[in-house]
Amino acid sequence: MADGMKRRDFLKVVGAGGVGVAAAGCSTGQADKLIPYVIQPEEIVPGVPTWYATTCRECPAGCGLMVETHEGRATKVEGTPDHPVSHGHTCARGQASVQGLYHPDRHRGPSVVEEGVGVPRNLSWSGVETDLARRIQGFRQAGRAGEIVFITGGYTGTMDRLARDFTAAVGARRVEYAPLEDAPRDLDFADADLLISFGADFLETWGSPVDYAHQFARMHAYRRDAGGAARRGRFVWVGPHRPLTGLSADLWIAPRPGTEGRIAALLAGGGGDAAAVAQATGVPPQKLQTLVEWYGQSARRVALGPGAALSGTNATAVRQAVARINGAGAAPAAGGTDLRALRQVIEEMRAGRVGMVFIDAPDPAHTLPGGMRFVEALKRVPVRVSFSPFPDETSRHCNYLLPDHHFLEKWDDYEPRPGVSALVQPVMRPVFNTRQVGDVLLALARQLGVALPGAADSYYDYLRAGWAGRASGTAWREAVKRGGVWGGAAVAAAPPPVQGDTTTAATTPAAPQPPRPAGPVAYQDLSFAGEGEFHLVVYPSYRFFDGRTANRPWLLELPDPVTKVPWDAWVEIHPEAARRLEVEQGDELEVTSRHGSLRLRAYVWPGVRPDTVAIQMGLGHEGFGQWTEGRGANPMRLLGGDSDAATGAPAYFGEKVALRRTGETNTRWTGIFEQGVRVQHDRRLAQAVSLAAITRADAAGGGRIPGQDQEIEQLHGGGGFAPVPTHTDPTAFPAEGGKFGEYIDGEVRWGMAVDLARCIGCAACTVACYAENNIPVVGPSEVKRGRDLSWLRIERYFGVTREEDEALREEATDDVRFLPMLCQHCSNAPCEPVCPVYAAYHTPDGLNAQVYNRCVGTRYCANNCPWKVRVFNWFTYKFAEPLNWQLNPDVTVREKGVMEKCTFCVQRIHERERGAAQEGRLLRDGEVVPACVQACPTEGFVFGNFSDPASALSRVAASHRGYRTLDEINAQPAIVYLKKVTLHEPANGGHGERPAPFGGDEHTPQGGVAQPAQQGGH
Amino acid sequence: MSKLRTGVLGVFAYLDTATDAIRRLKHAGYEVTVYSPTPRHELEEALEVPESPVRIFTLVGAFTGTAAGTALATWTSIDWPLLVGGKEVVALPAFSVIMFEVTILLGALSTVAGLFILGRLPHIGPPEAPLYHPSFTAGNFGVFAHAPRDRYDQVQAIMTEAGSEEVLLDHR
Amino acid sequence: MATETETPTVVRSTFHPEVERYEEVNRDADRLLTKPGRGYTALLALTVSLVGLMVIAELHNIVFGLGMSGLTNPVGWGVYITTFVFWVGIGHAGTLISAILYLFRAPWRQSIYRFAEAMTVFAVLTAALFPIIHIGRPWFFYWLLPLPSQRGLWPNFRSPLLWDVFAVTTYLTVSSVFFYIGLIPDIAAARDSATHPMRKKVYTILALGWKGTDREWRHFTRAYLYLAALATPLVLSVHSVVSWDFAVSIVPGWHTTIFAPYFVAGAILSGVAMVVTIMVPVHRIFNLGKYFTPVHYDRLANLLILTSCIVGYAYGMEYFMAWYSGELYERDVFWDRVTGEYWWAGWSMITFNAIIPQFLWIKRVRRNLNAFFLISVIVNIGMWWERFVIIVPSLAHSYEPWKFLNYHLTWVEASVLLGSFGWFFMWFLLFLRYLPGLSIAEIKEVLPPPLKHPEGHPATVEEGSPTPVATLPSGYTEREVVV
Repeated sequence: MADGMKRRDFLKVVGAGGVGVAAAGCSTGQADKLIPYVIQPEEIVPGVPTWYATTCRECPAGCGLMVETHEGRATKVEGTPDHPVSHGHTCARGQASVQGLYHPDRHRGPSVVEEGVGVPRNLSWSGVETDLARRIQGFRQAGRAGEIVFITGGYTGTMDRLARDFTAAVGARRVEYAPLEDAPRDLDFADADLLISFGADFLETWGSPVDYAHQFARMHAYRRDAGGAARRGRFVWVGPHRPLTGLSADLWIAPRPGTEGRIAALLAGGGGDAAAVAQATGVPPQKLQTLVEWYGQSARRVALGPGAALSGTNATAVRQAVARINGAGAAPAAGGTDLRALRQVIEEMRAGRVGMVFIDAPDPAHTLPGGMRFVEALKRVPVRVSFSPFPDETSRHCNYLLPDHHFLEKWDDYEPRPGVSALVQPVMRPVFNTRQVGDVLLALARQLGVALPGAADSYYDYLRAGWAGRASGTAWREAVKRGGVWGGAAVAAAPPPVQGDTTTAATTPAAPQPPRPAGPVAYQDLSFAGEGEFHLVVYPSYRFFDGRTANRPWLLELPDPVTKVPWDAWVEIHPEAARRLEVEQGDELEVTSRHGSLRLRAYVWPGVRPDTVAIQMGLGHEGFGQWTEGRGANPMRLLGGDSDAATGAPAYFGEKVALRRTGETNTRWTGIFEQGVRVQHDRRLAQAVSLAAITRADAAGGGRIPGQDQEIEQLHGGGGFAPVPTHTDPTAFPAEGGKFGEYIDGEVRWGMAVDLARCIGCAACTVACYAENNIPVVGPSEVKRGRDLSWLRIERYFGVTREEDEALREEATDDVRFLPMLCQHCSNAPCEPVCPVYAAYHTPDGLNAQVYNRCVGTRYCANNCPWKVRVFNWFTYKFAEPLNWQLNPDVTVREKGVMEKCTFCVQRIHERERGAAQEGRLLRDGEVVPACVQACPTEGFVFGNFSDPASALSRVAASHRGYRTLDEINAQPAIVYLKKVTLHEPANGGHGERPAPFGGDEHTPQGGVAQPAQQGGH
Repeated sequence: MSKLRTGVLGVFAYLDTATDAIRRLKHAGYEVTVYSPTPRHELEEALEVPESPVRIFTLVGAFTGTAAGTALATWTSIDWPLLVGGKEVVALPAFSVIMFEVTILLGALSTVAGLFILGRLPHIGPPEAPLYHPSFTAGNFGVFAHAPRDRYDQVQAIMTEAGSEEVLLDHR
Repeated sequence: MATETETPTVVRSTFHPEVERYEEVNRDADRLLTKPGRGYTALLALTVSLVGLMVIAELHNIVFGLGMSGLTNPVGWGVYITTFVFWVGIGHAGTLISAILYLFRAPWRQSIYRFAEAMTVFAVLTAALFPIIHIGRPWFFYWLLPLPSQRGLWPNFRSPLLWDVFAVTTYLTVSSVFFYIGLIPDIAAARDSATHPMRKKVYTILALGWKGTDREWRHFTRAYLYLAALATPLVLSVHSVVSWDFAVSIVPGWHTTIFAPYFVAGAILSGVAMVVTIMVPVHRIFNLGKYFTPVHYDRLANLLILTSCIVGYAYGMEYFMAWYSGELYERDVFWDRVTGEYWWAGWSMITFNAIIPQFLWIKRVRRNLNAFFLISVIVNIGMWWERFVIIVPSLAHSYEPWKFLNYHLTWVEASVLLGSFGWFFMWFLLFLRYLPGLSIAEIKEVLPPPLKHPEGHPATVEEGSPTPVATLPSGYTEREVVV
């Protein structure tokens, strides 16, 4: 199938009954091997999704995924509920994996580039394999098998074994290259009191982000334990700049680059006294003092790191210092890549001593430090085989293109961490004519006539054979059904409790894959090389990881969670330094190191040390498809390829760079575009309350009985029917409301609670919303016009009042607030009455509905929406074939001229309602889970029914932290936000004293009281 | 009121002479049709005509409009009641605009209808008076006396006496 | 015939001292209908080509989508709605002069109301385009009409936009009817004097057989009175309804009780300005000094000064309330209007509408046609900016700070804006050429009637009080008027 699945094939699949399941779900045609997770349909029921369990391979974390397939097409991924890694959730990258599956840039099939010809010639798989086997045979007969090199990336489990056996059997060499994979993925800090991260962006890429985010929420969010005592861990970020993870910190300590280890040493003891360390690290003594105090006060402290951004040549030393804080006796091992081995191979390649290279690693040409000059070495190799499913920087220099399956199309297994053996299961037939590496290797082995232990006809059989020990027969079925084997006996699948307690099985720090212990190393500060005056921080991207997911439109359109810059890269620079260089936000800078130079736009903010600049990995691709072409620059070009002295792990830290202004400045259409604003302009949207105050409040308000809670009743009063004055007699409802219209007192009033204390701003919800609701991507220029169609956005506020704005551009704050903003589904919705054609109206179950077919596009509703959460289809946006295969058949695709907005995933509500009706019962609380709620790794959303006083929603909304945004408008929003909990008295600004609906405020000090006197005075 | 189809037309350059002629003719018992380039009270006074009943049309039309507007807005809302913004389904403050606009619309249209019916516009069929002179829309006044042929002489005399510039007889 | 006879002591109208006889009016009216020069053809070609431009632009909107405009989230309304309000406003002066002043028996209206009335009809005709142009799916605009959908759902009468539909269509209908009814006697006059057979035929049809009989006049005058009586509240309501498009919403800067009177005053200000903008060239080209006398310009100047003062007061009051209310959002919006990205628009609206018209207090300014013309143009520009400033910065700076984002118009919107002027003036030029621009019959109402024995007829002294030349106010001569 050169151009994907044809409609006719597709219908065959659907019509083919039992075989249909097989054909639809399986690449290798074994009908009986596919076991749907929830239900086991004998045939596909058109319109009814089938779910398959598999494992996410977008990053090393290996989250368990549930993939929703409609008639044989994967449309949406979700976390496997009982999975120890994903806890039923995902990150933004995981949500976007379906776009990797249907990416229009993917190789359509195997091809060969003859020397001098240039254009690839398409071949059959057997043709390519025969050809390759012949060449390998040639080398072996000439006794030069040693010149065959296999660069593998992040292989574990079966693939690791196969690669090892294959290379051994052929006599080839294997070298491992798996960037950003050497972080431990099995730490447990869910119950820590103090968490210290040394540049470890564990909420983004470090280790196991979803699992860690889940733990972080439980450790850091405000909660009350069984005894009713308030609990909230503290989090300290140590590093020269603040990525997303750092923004959640209660304290940011920015030591002089290279001296981070001293902080760890100080805390672990035997690191000298605080004053001396403060002196050496340039950290303000009082800050260090606070850290030391907190450290002393905390019963359980966990330190993480160093993250890739802080990994220099002394990484092991820092890691061991950090480990001592955790009280781990033996120094934990490094893992992942040994760059030394790779560098040696590259030298041989350059010297022409490598005749044939197989590459199945994450795009070395893009992710390897420029100083290693990989590409020019690669060009010296006669036979260059790429398994990359995408055209990328590496494969464009290869002459054998053997596109691998996307992980949603292949059989495989993976070990995220000890004790967890995850299975990767194909959820549909391959989109293109691809073949997975395992099958290729087995085929080559067959053709070469070399014997591999446990060799089989197909990789699937090979895999099963390998698993015979762990799971066979029904156990295998169970394993496939759940997506792997972990935690000893199989745990029964259960939907996640809304804010439940799901901890990981593993508790002790253990070695990541593959373990490579290193002895104790003496710590010394990292010395920076280079002439420039700025220390360079190169840090992994939450959206693009090391660049491997950079071609997903959703992730490009999603603004960076920190800078809120979509579709672009930038260099972060401190305002002080910017002033010195006379640089403004968006001006172009030339960044030069010993190894290269690049041009990027300046992003000026105080989240980076004045003597440091930070650049994100991931963009700056040269051959990675239509959407990444010419976006940003690749910071790896600035690095030399040093490695950790002890373990050989790549060193991303330790380079100095010089900055030069090129004179290109920001205009409305060129340069970078930062979405939103940095302060709240006194709007009191994202509010916070101090830990002390909320503790007092909860103590005082103890014994509140849900249901009899006056505020809850009042909110219920807003429930869907009638205008209810903000201060009304709640008991008057719904009798009073009943007289309005024909709506009777409905059973449900859908609503949502959002806990700002849990939100880490990762925007997984946003991408989930794109995936679930067929939201189109509008592209960079339209985004700059403010026409992005995101139904759910994460607002990131550094401050409250406009006065702070200037100050905050200079001084970093420890109170950064994230505010998920979506349709508030108001009871007195301002958007509804202004619509002349009833396109916007109120449903009996309290939803603020938008009827696309009725909409004529007056845009009055959007004008009248105080939250500005309604978006308009300015054009009819295209879904590039085959990306349109991902469209959710349950949701309308909108045309130009139509208004749209969040629907609380009404399609899911109705699906559940139908299900309940079929079973002749009422909906259970927590049964309906909108996409955003489902995705959130910190479980910060609660969706449910306000009419039911016992529902989790009603209980959560009753919190003293509860409030509704812009409440004075009396739109009666159905979304209750729970205030973020800060350690110090927070400012909330806003105008005047305004009673918060949930009475929480009489306990919270009116921080940042009325500003109006300073507003618009004229 | 069917007037005689025959008669004599007097063309007057002056308003006072025309009114004078009208008075004399009416006194002589003739029905007259007066042409004038612009409405003058003097003429109406001389003719002693009652107030125009157009206003009845206006009144009825306007009230019909109010009723229609109210009915439209109210009935369509009740026919398929949908809640928007928690407002009343029958929201009279909002509907008052509709009522008002329809009132004006029907009121105006029925006024025009009244004009056309009472003023016999557009003119189809035989004219009210058989004789007409284009100068009547310019500067001259015309007085047509509806009279049987045998009285033409008398009428002509009255016209000339009153100061008619020109007298036309209807000979058909 | 009559005109040859010697005339007794001349009695003249205060307003048209130079016009002696009824016939003169017909002659001058016919002058407007005679074959035009090259200038006219050129102007007409220009306006038509502008309309063509608008059509091309609108096709872009329809084919590619409304994204061709500069609109965005949060600024959902921009140039289109601005221009809509502008043209609706222009219409108001016409109805004011033709209907309200008629009720007030202001005799000076007679000679100019025909132009004003025509302006009204064409302005509303222009405005009526925009609700269709600005919606996202123009091909479904009829969903806004009171018709049930296939499923029996009627439009939402609670929506201000639907009030708009009713107000604008009613206004268009009533003012067109009013316009045509007033035209009937004059078309009859044109018919009687027409020489060209084609014209004669057309006018004969349009005149509906009008002869000016006592019966016709009797009902005509009453009907006209009642139409005026209906049009008066209508004109006040229409712009109030338009203002409620904004005032009924909760957008800071829109949600204000002052809007209805404020908008009506603004509408009359812009409308009267447009009347002057049109009158002066017509005056010059057709040399109508006899009909557009300094009295008329004085009266119009008075109207401008009055409405400009009201508008100025409204501006002040908006800012006062923003400050006095202590309402954060309100304050921010109004502060943004004069300091934000569109500060220059904010200031130009205040200067052009509230300050510059005050120069008309000075006699030498309002008597100088060039100066008056210039001021009227400035006011028109200012009023367009007023609507822009009300609409755009308010949306760009409302409750949600994350969506503070501004709007920048595109060539498509600019073309539609220009095209709307082309559309308006195209109709007006055609009107000048083919329909009596001077209200022949009504001007005669304020002329002294031809009398053989004036002294013997006190009845002839009525409104528009005819007075001997000697007692005319000093300085009233054509020469001085046209400096």
